[in-house]
Amino acid sequence: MKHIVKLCLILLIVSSSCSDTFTELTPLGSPTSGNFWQSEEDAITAVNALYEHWGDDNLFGRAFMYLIAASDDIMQGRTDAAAAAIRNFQATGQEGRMAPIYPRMYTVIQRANNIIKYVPEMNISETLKNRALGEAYFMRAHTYYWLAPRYADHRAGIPIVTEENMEELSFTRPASIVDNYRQIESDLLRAAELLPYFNTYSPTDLGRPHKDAAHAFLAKTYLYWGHHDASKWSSVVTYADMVINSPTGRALINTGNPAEDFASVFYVNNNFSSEYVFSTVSSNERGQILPGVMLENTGWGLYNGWGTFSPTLELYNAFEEGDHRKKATLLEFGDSFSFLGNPRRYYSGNSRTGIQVNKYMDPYRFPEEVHLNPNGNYVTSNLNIPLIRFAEILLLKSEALIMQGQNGDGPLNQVRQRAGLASKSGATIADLKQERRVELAAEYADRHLDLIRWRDAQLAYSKPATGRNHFNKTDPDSGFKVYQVWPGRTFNPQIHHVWPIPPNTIAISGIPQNQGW
Amino acid sequence: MVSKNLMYGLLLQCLFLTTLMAHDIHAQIKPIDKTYVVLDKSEWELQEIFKNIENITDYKFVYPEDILNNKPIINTNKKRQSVNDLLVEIATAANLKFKQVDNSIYVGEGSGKKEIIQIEIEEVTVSGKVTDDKGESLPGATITVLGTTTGTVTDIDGNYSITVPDGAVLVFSFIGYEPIQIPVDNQSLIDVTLKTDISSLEEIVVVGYGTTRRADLTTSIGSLENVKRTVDRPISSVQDMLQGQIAGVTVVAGSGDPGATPRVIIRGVGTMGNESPLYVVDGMPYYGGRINPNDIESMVVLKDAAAAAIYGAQAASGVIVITTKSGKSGETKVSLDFYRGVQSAYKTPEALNAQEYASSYRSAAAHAGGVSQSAHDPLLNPWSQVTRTVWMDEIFQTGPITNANVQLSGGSERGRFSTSFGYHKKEGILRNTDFELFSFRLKSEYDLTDKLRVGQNVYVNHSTSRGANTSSSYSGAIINAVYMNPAAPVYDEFGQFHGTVPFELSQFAGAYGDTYNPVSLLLRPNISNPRLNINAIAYAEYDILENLTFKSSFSIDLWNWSDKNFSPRVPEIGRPSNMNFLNQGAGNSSRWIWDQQLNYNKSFGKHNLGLTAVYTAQFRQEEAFSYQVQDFDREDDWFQYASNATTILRVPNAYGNEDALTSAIGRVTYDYDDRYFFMGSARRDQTSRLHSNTKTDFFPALSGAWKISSEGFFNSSAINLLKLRGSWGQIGNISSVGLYAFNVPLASGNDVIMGEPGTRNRHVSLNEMSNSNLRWERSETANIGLDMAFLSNRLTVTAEYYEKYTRGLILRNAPDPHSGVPTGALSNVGTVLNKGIELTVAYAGEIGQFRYRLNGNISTINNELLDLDEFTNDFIVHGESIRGTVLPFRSEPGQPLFSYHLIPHDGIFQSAAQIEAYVNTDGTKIQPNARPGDLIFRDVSGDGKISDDDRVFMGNAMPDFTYGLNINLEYKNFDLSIFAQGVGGVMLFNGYKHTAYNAGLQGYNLDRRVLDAWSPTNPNATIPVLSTQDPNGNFGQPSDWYLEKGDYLRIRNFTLGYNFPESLLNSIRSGSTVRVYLSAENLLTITPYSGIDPEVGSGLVIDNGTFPIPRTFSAGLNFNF
Repeated sequence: MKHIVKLCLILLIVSSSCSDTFTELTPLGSPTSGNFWQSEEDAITAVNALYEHWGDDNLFGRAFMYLIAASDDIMQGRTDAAAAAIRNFQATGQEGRMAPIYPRMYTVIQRANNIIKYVPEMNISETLKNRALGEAYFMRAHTYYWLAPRYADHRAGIPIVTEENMEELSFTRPASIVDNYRQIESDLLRAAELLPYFNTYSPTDLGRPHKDAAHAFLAKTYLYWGHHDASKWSSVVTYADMVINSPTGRALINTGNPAEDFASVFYVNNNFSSEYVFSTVSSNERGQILPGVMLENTGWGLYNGWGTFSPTLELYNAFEEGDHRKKATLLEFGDSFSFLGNPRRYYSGNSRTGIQVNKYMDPYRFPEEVHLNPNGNYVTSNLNIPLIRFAEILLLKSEALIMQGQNGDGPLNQVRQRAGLASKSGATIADLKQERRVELAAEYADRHLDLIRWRDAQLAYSKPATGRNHFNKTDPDSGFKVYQVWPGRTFNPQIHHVWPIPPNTIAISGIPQNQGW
Repeated sequence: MVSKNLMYGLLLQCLFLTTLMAHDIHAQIKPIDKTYVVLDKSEWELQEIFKNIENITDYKFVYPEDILNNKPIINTNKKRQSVNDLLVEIATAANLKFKQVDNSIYVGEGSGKKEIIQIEIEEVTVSGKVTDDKGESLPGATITVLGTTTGTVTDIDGNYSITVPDGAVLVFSFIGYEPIQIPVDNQSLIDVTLKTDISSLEEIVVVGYGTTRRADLTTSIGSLENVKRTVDRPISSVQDMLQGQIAGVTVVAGSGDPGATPRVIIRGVGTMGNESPLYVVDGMPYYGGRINPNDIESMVVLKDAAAAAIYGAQAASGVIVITTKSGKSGETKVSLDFYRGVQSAYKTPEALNAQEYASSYRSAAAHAGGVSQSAHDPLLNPWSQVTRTVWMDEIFQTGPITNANVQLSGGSERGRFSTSFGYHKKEGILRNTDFELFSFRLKSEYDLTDKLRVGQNVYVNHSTSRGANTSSSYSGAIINAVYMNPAAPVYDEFGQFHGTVPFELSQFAGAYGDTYNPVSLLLRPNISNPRLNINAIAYAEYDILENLTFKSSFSIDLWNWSDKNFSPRVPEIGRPSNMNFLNQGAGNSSRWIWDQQLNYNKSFGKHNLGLTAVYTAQFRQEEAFSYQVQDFDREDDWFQYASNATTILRVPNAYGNEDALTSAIGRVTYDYDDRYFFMGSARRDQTSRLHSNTKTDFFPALSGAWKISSEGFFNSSAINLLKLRGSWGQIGNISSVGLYAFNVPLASGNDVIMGEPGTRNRHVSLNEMSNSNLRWERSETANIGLDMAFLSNRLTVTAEYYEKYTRGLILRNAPDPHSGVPTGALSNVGTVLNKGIELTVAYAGEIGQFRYRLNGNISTINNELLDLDEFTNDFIVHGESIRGTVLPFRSEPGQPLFSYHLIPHDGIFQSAAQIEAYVNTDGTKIQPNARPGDLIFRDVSGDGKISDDDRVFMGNAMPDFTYGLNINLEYKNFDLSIFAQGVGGVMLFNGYKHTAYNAGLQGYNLDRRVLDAWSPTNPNATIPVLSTQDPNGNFGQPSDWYLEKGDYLRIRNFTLGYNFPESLLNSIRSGSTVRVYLSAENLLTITPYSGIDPEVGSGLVIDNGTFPIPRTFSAGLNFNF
């Protein structure tokens, strides 16, 4: 029995002495929430994560463009029933083309909230702290700026999540989109205070938010808000002027050569020109796939264009005689252009309208290795894609002036002159609408939202979209017949002015769906 | 069977040897102290009393006449007394002594000493040899004298020698064999052949940290019958071996990928985590590489919690206990096993040919009111009208399978060894897929002293496998063989892979979608992924006291792996990519386990008590890295090294982790008189995966059995065994807990582009929530079982009912999307109940030389999610989807886990009038966008529109019942076995239809069944009208149109074998055996499922054209000498 007692004792000692520390392990490989938020590098890397989604196909790569393609300017370029359901306002919200938008944008808000919560307590330089917080406030506002008008209206806002309530388990919809606008306003005002001017950034930091960008989005937020509260029109002018009069010298590219000036806004070399206000930053390794998405499907066998969107003949016809922006915006049969370093004349067997967006073609003018990602599944380029640019600031100001019954000619005519067009005097809101359409076509300025806020959507969308059916699709000189590419659609302004929140989000969060969807 | 029983017999024999030998030899003759007499008067003459005893007993008194002179009258009482007592009385009174020799009692003058009665029995010595029915000697067989506990055991060569009283009857027995009785008579040489016991009741089964007789079990255990024949099947894993063989054990192949391992589910799905049973090999938990099936001696499944409790934390999903072959003392034996076969697909999908492709899309465009793409116009694109390739034929092949194994075993009296080398290679039925395994095992045991035993078991295995992606609806090889343009050849005129269209027709490319050349998907990437595993066990066992044994076992499991994947440029049209990549990574892991075990066994009369105490600790660490480099000038094999890359985009990825677990376990077993059995155990587990507040927990288990057939009152010759048993137990489940769930590391990368020019920036973000309150998931099983045997154990029946609760079910909580954390925390969210009935019936019999054995099992599984009390929502929407669009799965209390939640459909609209008339009670048109030929969805909610509110629950992919039937026949030298297996109550989500029947995607080619799609002239179709637009959501709605019955019945195996006659082989070496056989695997499948194969998996599985299970024909050879 002595042996047993001894052995039991040994076992007992072995088990009790090593077990507690034996199972006490620190996670390896990465920091955890517990040991992060210490160094300047921690602050910088946390802030960088705010821009990870610039490279996300399912946001600015193309998903938002699927929503914009519900407009009368562009449409799906390929057979795609899910995209068609969006364009026909028959979507469920769970379509792969749009479902990721809503939840992924909220991840940006979460990242901003964490910065706003933890950075103030960090022991780092005040300059970096201000910049980090400024970027976080800006990006939170910017994210809501994208979500609110697409998913919220006067009947219900979208849940406001800030550093104060971020730990809560569930969230509710505020009473109205105006609640969201207030939050955006307050965040942008703080961002404008904290952020530096764009020209103080070192070249490696270009692309981060800056004072002018905060003011620009304030102006545009007030423009949307103005439709709910007319007192906001004047604020549009105030903040547009802050950008226009910015010490960083924001201005149109205008060398007096209308044939080139407008087109050059979208040159890789002008990613950070005087017209830059805020863009998604890209490289040929990662970033924006939009140029590849707009390019001819399979790029005439030379590069993997996706041909996802086709401009309509209605957009083509919207340009006034002599508008130099037409050629810069659209490619039609017979147009000469440079493709991968070789001259080429445009033809297409794939474009459903016989036309292609030309705005983002600069990276394709050069041999592939200059600006393009050789990975055909991730067709990024060195071209940044504007989210807001100086010409739009001028048009925001003009529109706000007109909406207040004042004269908006000045800023409007700056835009027209650069395009080689005659000035307008006593421009009406109709003139402004026309100008916005042709200046900002196929951009993230968002024609679809414009038509909705102007209450023009129902009429515009009831008309069919047309295109050119060329007799020989491989002959740049082929004749064509105009044909209906897409029948007129039923747009119910009580329902379709916003999109359905993804049903999956509705199911998990329990918030009510937008009415009618 | 034979050698398995032999081994257990030896084991058991070793245990009981000492008790057996401890008894003295007694005579068969009725001892005088056990023979009673009653005398009818009290005063006797000596001669008179001797006569009287001779009359009433068998004894004879032998004495000289004069010895009785002058002896007194014996006074004795009239009560019942033994002859012995009587003689003692007489001896004392008359000063006599007695000597018994056999039945004769010699009478002599007393010496006054104590030894007044001397007993001497005449004895004979018998010797001989015990062999089995194959002629192999049986070492360790028991020989006892009937009616006594006297006996001996055979030596290594099966020889024995025993001295017994004249006229004794010998009983020869050995575990697993039918005992035999032979009267000694006057023989001095008795050779005996024992016949294999065809019932398994005497089988010794390995339970946690010990063994027991099957007939004495208190818990629920299933064992694999006929391991020896099962490994002759052309299979690659132990999981394959288990399929359909044991009630309550569901094995789902999931894929025919040659490297795939089937999933084993024991008694239903309880947790979402790693629902994998624990494998225990030779007594130690096993995490090593694939086990060579030829190494396996026996396989036992511990199904209920009480049985598995001793293995604890990793055993919540059941335990599979594997014992590998051991050597046995005696001559060195060699076994050679070899088979070779061919595999092929028994069913493949068929795509449209070129003309059908073009015309289907023309009509699809016409239906949508659009203009057909010129690519499909025979005038504009005549190239498109010629079928150049049947892609399905290009991706499938006939794949050879080869298995070779050699085993050597033997030993001396003090040590035994077994060593084996195995080679297994199979090519998949999709081109360029394969699996190869080399394995080597060395196992040995030594009896260093009578009290100290040591042993070791080293297993080294190396595998490579190359599979194919078939699960993706974008890049799956099979689905792309449907998508790909049949007008395109496989290769162009330069021998390069051809795209959807030739370069000169690139203007038509858009019509054919972003399709991969499916042959290029299989052939193009250069993949290597060797995995080396070394798993070694060493133990020492010491008998501290007669009944107390200490055992210390140490095992180590080492893994080393590397992955290299070179993806060349894809220049052809379809999904071109002008970049080549090299992805490379490597890692290693090590795990050690150290068990300390004390065992105490003691018998007190009819009471048997066993005590076991175990302390075990294990620690695992893993470290790995991977990187991607790109842009190689050349793509030759010899150039595919990272140093030749031009660009490194990302910082290499690296990770490491650790995992520790300790447990203390106590167990008591007790049985009484072969009637009552009891077992109780308790364990304390502690894990590093949980926060210090919750990491330690306690889990008890109890079980008992009542063997009614052993009771005195039970007297039935028809029923050999009737036993009722019950068990209850709890086990913690660690496998569903994430490694660092209490403190999840942040996500990092360097993918953020910033600056001019744009460069990469590092970023860190919170992508997953932590949960410091996470607790152990607890699996609790109650089990009632009935074991019965009839007709001399020829018919055995086991019936069981169980309820298995998974409490504190660990699932990832779905975070409110507004929280912005994409991945929720692992949380204890609710309770799941699995319950079911299991029935196993076996019958063995023989008619002359024809022997047969039938074995059938059936089990039901009823799974229900009972509550989701701690989940963030009332139900779980699972993210599994077709292309992110159709999400069919939902788990909600009251329903099975992973249920389908779908909108019912009621056929197809035949006319516009029918659509008009399809209104709800308010008169609202329910499907205003529908056209004739579209699916009719049921407005379940009655709100006048089709939405998620109309979804209803429609079962799940887990079978409601599974069954298997084995038929084994033997006639003379022939053996035949048939194994059939099936499942019922399975619903499968055929996601393949989403793309293969749908003209509304990017223009992919379609499955040929769309020729039967709805049209006004084909109103009875089940496939909706072909259209490039889908405003009705025929394909986009998660409807039951996708749902199909996935029941199947498979003739899994058919084997015919022939044993060469002994006479032929004895010239090689006595006892040699040679068997040749032919085998067919997956001979026949009966299923209503329209997909390629019904065995696509269980749980959250969408069938997008899964790798089908091959049909294999093979021929093999077993050679033992």
